[in-house]
Amino acid sequence: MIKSARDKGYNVAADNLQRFLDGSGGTKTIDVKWLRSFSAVTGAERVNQERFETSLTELAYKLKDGETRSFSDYWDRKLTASTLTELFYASGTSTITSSGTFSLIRKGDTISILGAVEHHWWDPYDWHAGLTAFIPGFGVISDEDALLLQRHRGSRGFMMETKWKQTVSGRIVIRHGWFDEVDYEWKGP
Amino acid sequence: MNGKGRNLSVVRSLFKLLLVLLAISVTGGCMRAEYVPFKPVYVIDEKYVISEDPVSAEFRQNIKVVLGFYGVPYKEAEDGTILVPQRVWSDTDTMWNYTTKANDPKWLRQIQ
Repeated sequence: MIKSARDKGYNVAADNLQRFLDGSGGTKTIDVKWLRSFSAVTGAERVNQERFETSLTELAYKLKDGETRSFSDYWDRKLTASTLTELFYASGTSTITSSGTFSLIRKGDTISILGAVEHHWWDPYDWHAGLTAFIPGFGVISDEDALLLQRHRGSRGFMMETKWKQTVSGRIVIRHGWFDEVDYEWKGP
Repeated sequence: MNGKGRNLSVVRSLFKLLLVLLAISVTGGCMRAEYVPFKPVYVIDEKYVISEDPVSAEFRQNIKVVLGFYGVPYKEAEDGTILVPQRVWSDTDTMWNYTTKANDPKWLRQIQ
């Protein structure tokens, strides 16, 4: 299975399975560029960004002229990669926990927002009784098989994680009698 | 078709359009009005699990704080059950986040 994965260029998935079989345990840091090459990851990241934006916009409208406010929050988003991508075989279902700190200031009818968000992607490489996965070329593989290896052959799960930072700047202009301008710009990887 | 017939056809078409708009409006109104009980959502073995256990008075109080903070409309039934709009409840991932925050004293302290 490892050889077949490497033949397909799925080296991260192959390395993960090898690490599990070796029983190394510990924590493996995943390359951010590789991880963010999957739309499931950037899609989940965007969901959390939008969650922050919604809260920030709501807070912005509560500010009075000249008022400032700081705000911190976090959001978790679970994601499952497509079976057509390597991420499915390397990780399966994972989580992005995004933690942000923001400042808002209102001057006249304009509210300016600045903030920094750290995205923490994490996934324990483990197995769950009762679950199965279809792996092309190998058929339906039961998690029970991996659990047996864990019990009797020294295999061991491990933690996978990585972090990346982004900044956001936002601007809300209240236009009386017309649609307000609401704009957020995210920078970072 | 003479002028009278054409006018009648236009009136019939407008009447049908009115009925469709009315149906959409009534359906939309019903959907908006539908509230369902909020139940804590946890993640176990990478799956969302909706808890059917009775919730504590403290959790009930905390979830009201969370919903209030995010501007989510809610109602309280006579037995204390917290009800949220169906469209809100259908986003299980967000309900899991609300549950996490209702159980996070640090987050609750910070927003008050």
